Amino acid sequence: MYNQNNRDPYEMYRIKQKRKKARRKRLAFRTAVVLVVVILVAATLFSIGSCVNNLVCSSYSSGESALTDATETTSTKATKPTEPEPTIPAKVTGPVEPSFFDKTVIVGDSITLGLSYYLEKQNNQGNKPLGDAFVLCNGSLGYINAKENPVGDSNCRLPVYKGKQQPIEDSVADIGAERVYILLGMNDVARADSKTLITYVKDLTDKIIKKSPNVRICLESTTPLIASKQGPYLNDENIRKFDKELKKFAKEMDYSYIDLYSVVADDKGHLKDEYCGDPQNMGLHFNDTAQAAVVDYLINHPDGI
Amino acid sequence: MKKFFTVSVTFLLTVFMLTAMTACSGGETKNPAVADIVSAITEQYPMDEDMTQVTSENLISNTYGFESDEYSDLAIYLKSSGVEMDEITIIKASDSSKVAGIKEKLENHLNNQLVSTKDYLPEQYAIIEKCSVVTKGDYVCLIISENADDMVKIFENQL
Repeated sequence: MYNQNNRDPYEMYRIKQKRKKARRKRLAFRTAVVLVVVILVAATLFSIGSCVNNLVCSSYSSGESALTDATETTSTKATKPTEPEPTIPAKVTGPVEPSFFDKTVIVGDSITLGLSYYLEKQNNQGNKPLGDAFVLCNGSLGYINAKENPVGDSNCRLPVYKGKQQPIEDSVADIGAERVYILLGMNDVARADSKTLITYVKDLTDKIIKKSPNVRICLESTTPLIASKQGPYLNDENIRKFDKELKKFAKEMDYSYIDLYSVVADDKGHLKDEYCGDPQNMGLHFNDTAQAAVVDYLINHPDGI
Repeated sequence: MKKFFTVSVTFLLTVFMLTAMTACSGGETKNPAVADIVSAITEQYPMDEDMTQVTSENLISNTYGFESDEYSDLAIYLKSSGVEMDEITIIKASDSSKVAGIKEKLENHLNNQLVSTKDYLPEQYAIIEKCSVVTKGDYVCLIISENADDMVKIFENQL
């Protein structure tokens, strides 16, 4: 049966399909246009909103600073809340329990690396003489390279924390330390005079305090070498000069000062032979007997007093 | 003829299968305990008495950055003198996806040892320079020693 136009039904079917397709295309096009318009409008409104918000905030803060600049005339204006005073742990006399050192960080070089292994051996035997003290050290770390060779420098000697090198002050803050013991200097004494070195000590301690204002800084004296390993620059005379400046600096800043030099030195002022772990090498590292003496001293004189 | 052909093919297939089974059983994956690998190494190269075993999670996490979910077994021995950097570290990753991460962390540690001994302990630097981190299957190994090459071969032979 043919329709009134006398067209083939198949032809009609094809025409109908074409029209449907055309309608779908028009619908899709219109939908796309509407979506684009909606997105543009939304983006525009969002941008305007952000601008307005920034304007309001900046006018508020400038108004606030204007308010605080015009100081004594009114008593009803809002004042900026003052930061609380830091609460630095007080100096204590010993003996103390191992748990005293739980929130302590010990920063150091290879001598302190030896301490970390000594404490690990103790830990393996079920002893924790310094509680949960955290040792942050690197073999050739010093006050100078802590500043002069930052992270990214090919000679960076900063200690690793959680597998990555980062500034000491950041590690101390991340650990949440309340006390920081610093035993450095052996890698510095030959590089600069004592007064210059103290500027590096100050740089490091200032940075630690800035990030962790409630921490007690405990500066440990640099320790001696055995008699046979005195060098032209790295020698006990220069170490003692530096330690004298270090002690003076600690007193000025009300930091604790731990005289480890006296703990490990013989009557001639050199590292005791029986304390030396590397007599054939550098003659300045501690064996376990020396580390035990140091640990014992810290327990009995945690602030050097 | 047909019967002969069928029998021959069956025979050849059987031989092939038996051979394949034998070969495959020879390549079976080994999963030794890390302590056993260390024992095999130290049997040939005994450890000095000042090699300290590191067991505290704090020290492991801090020195290497390992988290406890990365590994299922590990053994770390370090020389405690402060002037010698001898080390045996063998780790079995908790699964094969962790191997690359563990390897990277050990390589960072190796690089740190290299930098810290440069100019300061040149003899140690020369030893460390020749060492590298090795992986086999889910096991990762770092050995710092004058005999590192031979010790690594023992490690590989255990797997």
